[in-house]
Amino acid sequence: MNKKIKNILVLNTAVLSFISFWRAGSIVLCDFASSAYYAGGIAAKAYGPAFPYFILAVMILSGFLLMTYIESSSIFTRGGVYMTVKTSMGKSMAKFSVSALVFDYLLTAPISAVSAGLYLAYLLEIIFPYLKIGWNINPRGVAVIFSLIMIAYFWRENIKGVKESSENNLRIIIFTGVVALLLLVLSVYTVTKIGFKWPEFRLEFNKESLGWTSYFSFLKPVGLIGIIMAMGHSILALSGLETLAQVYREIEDPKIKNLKKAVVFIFISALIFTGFLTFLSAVIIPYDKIISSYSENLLSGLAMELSIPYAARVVMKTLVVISALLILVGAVNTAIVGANGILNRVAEDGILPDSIRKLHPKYGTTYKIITLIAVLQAIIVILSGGDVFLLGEAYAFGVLMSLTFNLLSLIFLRFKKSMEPREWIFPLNIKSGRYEIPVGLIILFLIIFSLFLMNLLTKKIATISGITFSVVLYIIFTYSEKKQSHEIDLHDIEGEVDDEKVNIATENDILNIFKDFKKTERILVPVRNPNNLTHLKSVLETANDDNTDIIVLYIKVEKGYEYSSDYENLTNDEKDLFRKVILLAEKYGKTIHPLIIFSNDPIYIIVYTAFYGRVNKIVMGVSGRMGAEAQLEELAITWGMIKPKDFNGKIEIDIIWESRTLSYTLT
Amino acid sequence: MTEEKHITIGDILDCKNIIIERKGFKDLKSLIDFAVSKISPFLPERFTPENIKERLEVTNLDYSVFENGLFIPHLKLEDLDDFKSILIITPNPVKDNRIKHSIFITFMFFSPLSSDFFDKHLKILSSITQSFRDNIPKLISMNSPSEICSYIKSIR
Repeated sequence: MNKKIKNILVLNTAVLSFISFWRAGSIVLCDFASSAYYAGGIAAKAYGPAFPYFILAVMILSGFLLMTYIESSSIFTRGGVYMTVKTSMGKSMAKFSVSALVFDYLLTAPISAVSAGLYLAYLLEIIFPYLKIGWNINPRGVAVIFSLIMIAYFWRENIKGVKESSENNLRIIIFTGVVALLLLVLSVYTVTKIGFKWPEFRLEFNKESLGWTSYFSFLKPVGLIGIIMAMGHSILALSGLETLAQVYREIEDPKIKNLKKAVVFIFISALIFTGFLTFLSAVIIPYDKIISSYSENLLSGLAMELSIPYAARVVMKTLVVISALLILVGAVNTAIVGANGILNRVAEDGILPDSIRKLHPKYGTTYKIITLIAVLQAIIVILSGGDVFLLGEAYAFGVLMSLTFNLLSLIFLRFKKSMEPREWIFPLNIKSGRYEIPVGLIILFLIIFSLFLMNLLTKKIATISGITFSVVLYIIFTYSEKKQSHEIDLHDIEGEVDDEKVNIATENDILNIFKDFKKTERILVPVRNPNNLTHLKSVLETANDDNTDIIVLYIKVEKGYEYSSDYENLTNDEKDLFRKVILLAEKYGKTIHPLIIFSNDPIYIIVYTAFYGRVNKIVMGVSGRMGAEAQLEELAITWGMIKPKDFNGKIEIDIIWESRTLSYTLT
Repeated sequence: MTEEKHITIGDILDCKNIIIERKGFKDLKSLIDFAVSKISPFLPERFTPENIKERLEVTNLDYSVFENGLFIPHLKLEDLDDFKSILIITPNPVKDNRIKHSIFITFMFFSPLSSDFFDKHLKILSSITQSFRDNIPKLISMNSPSEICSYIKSIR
């Protein structure tokens, strides 16, 4: 290795590779579409034969809600309900929204795992007689055991630090899509055989589903009130939308355009899968049979009621169960990962005792937090006794609270950040001065808020547990803030670049780093000051990600013989620099290759890396110490030291600052 | 900036401005004083030696001394119509507390302060470091300025 180079670190992180809208949509659908397996049955039991209409209505509503995430993503690359709420309404409200998120995650695993367990149990009920196994299946018992096994399995995987893969999500969605298409085609075929009959539009609430409203005579479940109640019981079909905000930062350039495509893909898939299949279930299966036999595994029931030979029905049911296991079990892992991420941030801010952040001696993961989450989820499973209806009731609380906060925040942001450029805004606005009055958003908010309020009254257990949990968590945040006598910044709670997420590889020389670069163009972008990344932004705005590798180089100046050349010993300012670099890359959806070189001669390293890396262009910010012209002089001088006499290529240099560029070509 | 033809130090260095100073200099200041006194007659009258030395002091002179013993003090001056340069060989190297490396070769040059000349100015800087990259021991062993001049003119 060149003696001026003391060490080279290459940062590899999943964050720096960007995904297509198909993959982004698949990630969201693995969460969002999983509700297709249980939402219909829960709604049917809650309010009667009219359930397919309301599930369909909720799916149509999901399209509008997905659109709101396009607007919020155009403001925040790393968005999500916490960021949106904090910016618009302040930290106090944001703390409540964090509680809703944690509550949501803690319930996602149990409801998904229990539902998957129920599907499996009902399949075993059919298969065991063929296998001459005389076991008496208790579906809920099987669901509880299955859920505990799944939670234990993913507890172990997360302790080991095994990462989720968007490749797997895509495969699951493709498989599920094929099964759904098959089910759809066979359902349509069945309808042609048995004749189409609209499901009865009759609302029939029971004592549980009315909740506290039965004590108020003016809240009779008829007319508009009845519709709101029914919609409220169907709203858990919307779980998983928040994932879109999380996945936006990984979407490739052009980001908003690809986000829109993802939204269309998600909406159509969910409408068909959850909306139409639930509707067809109600068309094909008599309501009474849904309640008596299929409320806990509606899509399996649909498979068993198709007008095809029995053996084929069993095969179809098996396929449905496999798809259910894949998608629902995936949601269990997502929930553990999500809750771990949030509680980690919370613990880092001193809210939980420091001892709980202790890293596993072998795997380096926050095993105590992961274990806490898994234990809480397991307790919820056991307390539910495998009752997916009970879980569904509680689950809707977190879903609606998040949606309510998100919509209200977007409305506030229209006024608070009216000058902030937005690539897209939710439609139906009235221009008034410099404001766009968000009529569309307000209407949507009123719909969701009315559902939220109604759900507070109709879902007793959800209201009591959800509010208690939120208040307790809020008190913990506030108490800890006071105790530490400084403000806790939950700013990065929904994901930040930190040591854990950044994989470091050490290279012996520059050539090794570049050997895997296949694109035709290469741009080297030296960075130093986290507040001076105008030049990097300029590159990210204009570079073509398909044919250009962008290498972001930080040179850590280490003088003398003693040096600490590893990532752990970077200062907080230096880590902040990389955090901002990665945030910028995410904002533009362009892949970058961050590199840290430890050396005592930065200019030499820049030119050396450019030459040996066969870089076409160097784009730098201006140095406060010397100015752009002096910078070019140093580069020119160093170029003479390095370039071979027979060099016949060229390296362009741009020094960019504010709106100026100074250019030169090394030849 | 437009690309120009390849520039060598031979293009801007007059052989009359190649000096071998075998006595050496006691420190950096003495070297600078000597070099400036030799080149100032070729500069516009308003640039006195003191004026030039003051301006050179403001630049980071220690950054212009390289590991191989090359020293490139340089300035951009207004009212200058072309490049002016001087080459001083000091087989007895110049040492100073201010600099990390000893100086064997000093290439002092001045460029016109104009955006039209900046590109060429940068090319000359590259050319200087490239030309003297590996051959300083050879240069300091040469006996006369004319020998050095022939050698430099042959560098492409």
